[in-house]
Amino acid sequence: MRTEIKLAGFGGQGVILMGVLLAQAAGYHENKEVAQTQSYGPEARGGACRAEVVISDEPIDYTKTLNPDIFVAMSQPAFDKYIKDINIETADIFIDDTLVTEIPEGIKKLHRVSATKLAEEKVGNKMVANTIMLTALVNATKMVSLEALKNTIAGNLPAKIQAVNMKAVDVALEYCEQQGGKQ
Amino acid sequence: MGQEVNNEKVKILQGNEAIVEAAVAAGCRFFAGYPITPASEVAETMAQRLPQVGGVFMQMEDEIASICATIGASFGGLKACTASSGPGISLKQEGVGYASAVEAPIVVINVMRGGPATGMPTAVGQQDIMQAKYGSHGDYEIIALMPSSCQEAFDLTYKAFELSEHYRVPVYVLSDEIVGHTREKVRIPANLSPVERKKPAKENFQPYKAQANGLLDGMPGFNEGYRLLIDGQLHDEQGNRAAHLPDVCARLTERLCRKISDHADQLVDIESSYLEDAEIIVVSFGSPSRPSLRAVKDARAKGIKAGYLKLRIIWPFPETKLVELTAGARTLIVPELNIGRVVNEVKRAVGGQKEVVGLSKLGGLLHTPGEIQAEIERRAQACTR
Repeated sequence: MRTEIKLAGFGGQGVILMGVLLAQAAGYHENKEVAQTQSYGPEARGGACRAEVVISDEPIDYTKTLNPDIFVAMSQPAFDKYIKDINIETADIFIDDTLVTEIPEGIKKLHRVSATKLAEEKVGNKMVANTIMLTALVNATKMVSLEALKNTIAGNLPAKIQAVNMKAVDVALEYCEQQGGKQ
Repeated sequence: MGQEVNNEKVKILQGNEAIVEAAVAAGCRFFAGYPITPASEVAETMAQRLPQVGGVFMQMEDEIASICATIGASFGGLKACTASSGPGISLKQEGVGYASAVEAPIVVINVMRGGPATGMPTAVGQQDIMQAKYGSHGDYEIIALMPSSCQEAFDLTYKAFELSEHYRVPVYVLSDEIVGHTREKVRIPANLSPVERKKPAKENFQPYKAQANGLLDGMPGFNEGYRLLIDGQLHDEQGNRAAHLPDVCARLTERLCRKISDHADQLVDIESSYLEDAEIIVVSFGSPSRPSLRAVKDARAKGIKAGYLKLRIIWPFPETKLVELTAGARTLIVPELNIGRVVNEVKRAVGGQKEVVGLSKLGGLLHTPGEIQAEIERRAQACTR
């Protein structure tokens, strides 16, 4: 089975890091084959930025996404740019609804996650919006276990930002529980 | 971070990181370079890894200095490498020719981006394949390998060091932006034992006295008791300048070329599948190999007799083996991320005996499997008409 995930936003949001963490969680902790690719502009921050992850039980031939099963948009321009290539009937679509506010009708599986708002208001650091989104994604899709996600965060992030990211995981889980059913 | 399974370490690495791990495993202990997208992670990771194994990392002032330092380090006794992309590789060309002439074993990593000029720094290309063979002036030959995955970035970089030592020649790893920046599982064998440099005998030592097969026997180093004169001018077997001696210069130039071309059969590295009854074969190399394999599988699922080839060594071009492997096919399709370069090598190899179709893609994007499959289907229909 092959699962394709496309993540998009602007440079500085940690979009590529989300892809890396997801690939590592699936590769190291769930024993899957993984391929994580990216596309970005010459600017370090602010430019368009996209990460793709393919997770598979078998060796992966083509490493990029063809028909994403999951699409995550962390900004309106990213949403607008990529939504036309997404099958809105079948794909799980996650949006940071702090930043993505214009959404067309007809998306069957829309997951609204107020990632940036929660990061700012509940964690006090908007840098962890990506961790909040990633936790919501894992919680909803179960593509890797929460344990695998936490271990991957612990294994990757520098010590000084571990605590704030673990808090972001908890905030996201609490949010998902409150939202449960509302989506 | 990583896992230990069956005597191998499994790590999720970027292609650029896999290159560094392979270099270290192959015994590389010197790197000189200058950062450039999309090759910067090679230098960055070298700067972390080499000091851990007693090696030397040097951030140089420019690209020419980088390759010259690499040549110097090689004669200083270390397996050595440099890395760059696009404009940086252009600047290094003087050094590539120099290393060829003085027969310095060095590895040159080119993480190809879209060109020409400053080009497309963050996007993929395969526009430097001809440069790798012909970039420096004068007659010489090099070896070039092309990885299509992170695992191959490891395997082929490791192999590049072995080949450069054996043939005493610059060896290119022609990676690209996609391989360089993709993260995949890389399986690293636990007990690799890279070849140690063989030292020539000191008795009657002549630094450029070749064996019958055209290869130099071993690699001397500075400060090891050898009398060494290393100079870019063509030289006699003792290393003395010989630009005034036509026969000596002709002999050396010919040997520098033939020590590679005469061994082309030993320098074949091709992976293939679905060839047995294949009528249409996709001849791929580097990143386009991935969508090519997928396209061939999808075409097979539709009943088309498609086959797949991946050239892992591109120079010397494996023409004899290519002709042999594709003997039963009617059409060859060559997808490449340039205006259409290797397709001409394939045409030359098959000598008009079959249809050879280029599938060129520019603009910094990789072929999708669908694009390659569409070409396979077009050719399949043309055949049945």
